[in-house]
Amino acid sequence: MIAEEREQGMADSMFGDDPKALQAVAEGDREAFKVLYHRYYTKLIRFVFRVTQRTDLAEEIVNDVMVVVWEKAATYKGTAKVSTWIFGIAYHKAIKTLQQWSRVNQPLDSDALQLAMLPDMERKIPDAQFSRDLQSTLTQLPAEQRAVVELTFYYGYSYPEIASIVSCPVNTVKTRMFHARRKLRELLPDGIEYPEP
Amino acid sequence: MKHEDNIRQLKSEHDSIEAVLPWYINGTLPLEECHQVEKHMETCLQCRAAMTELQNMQRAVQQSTDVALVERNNLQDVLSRIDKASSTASVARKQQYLSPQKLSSRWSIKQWLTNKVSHYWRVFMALPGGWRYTVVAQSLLLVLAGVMFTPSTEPVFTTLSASSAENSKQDNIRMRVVFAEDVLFRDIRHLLVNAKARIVDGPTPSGVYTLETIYAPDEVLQDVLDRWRAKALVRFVEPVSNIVVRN
Repeated sequence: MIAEEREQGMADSMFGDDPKALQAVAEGDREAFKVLYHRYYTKLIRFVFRVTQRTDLAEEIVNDVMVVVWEKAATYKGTAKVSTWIFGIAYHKAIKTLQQWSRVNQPLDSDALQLAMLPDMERKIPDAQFSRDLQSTLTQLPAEQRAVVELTFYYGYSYPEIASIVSCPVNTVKTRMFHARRKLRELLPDGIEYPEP
Repeated sequence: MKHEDNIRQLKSEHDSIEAVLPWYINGTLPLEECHQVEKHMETCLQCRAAMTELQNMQRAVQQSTDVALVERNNLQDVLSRIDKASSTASVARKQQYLSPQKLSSRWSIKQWLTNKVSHYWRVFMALPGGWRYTVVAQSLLLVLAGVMFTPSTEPVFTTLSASSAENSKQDNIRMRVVFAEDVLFRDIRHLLVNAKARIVDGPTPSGVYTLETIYAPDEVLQDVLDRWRAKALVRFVEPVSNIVVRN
């Protein structure tokens, strides 16, 4: 295991930054591909799961994404960051898969559903649970809005980068964020105040 | 009217500032826009409240439990899919551009060689400076040793019509071969290993390889050629000017 990790570390340093690794992948270098795979797998799994809310699809989608990275590496033009390019592939795969399953915009997280259906009295939530409840509420957003929230707050992308990932104008990104915030306000219990940071 | 215009302008400015607050919080807003946000926040209580809301949102997203979905055991599956996809792509590429069988194998070999060279070059460049000199020095010594200790062998050429008795125990025959259209390089390599043959030249632009294989003294040349022609991966075989290279 240690030897394997050492080997992986060596390969990682050998290919340096993402553009170098992707260039090598474009030339058919499997070692470079393995490096990119290890670099992005966990990030992509989380992102795809957050967008789709489906654990059973996330793994398959990420594998599809990596196959596309291998096949299309030569088409990468370098106008955006490699991570933006890869996340763009992941986003479109995730949305397409959701459409195929005809489950776009349907809440899939049972906990979040239960929370939304609880009577008002029971929805008075102590501040200590605020963060957890907000997370549950996030799962009820449409996939496109959830992706913008995730890419902004978890992955720290700028709005032009997000526009590039999701292939839409920057104003659409801002609008999706606006609607996500409004929806969260609607879904969160009435009268609750945001705790001080 | 002027008052209404002012209000409309202030509202528009407020909306545009509030729309970029999430990226002010995540630290990706350009400096100029940051200054505009900060200036606006001095007087806008609504945006200050929105800041608090968004900071909580950010915290909630960042604190969300990481998805422990799967372990990293899918790499092999992905690599297998890639292999499959690559072979399909290779065939498609060949069908798209050049007719002959030739392109696939030629492309595969060039690709393989390019990959190997580029891989070893990267390994070499990843070595610390001192190690690089050592590797270069050792390589030079090996080349020098090879030159100094290689016995001068003058190849003997004879015609195929010559009797096997005239030859030594074992000869190599050279032949020109064209492989099947959809053959992969790894299949060629497998075939060569099994047939104890090697590529000595090619592929030519038209996809012709020159192979050298063992020709046992008790074998009839025609049998060797027929045996090669019977292989599924081979489309065409002919001896090279009836020349046999004696070992």
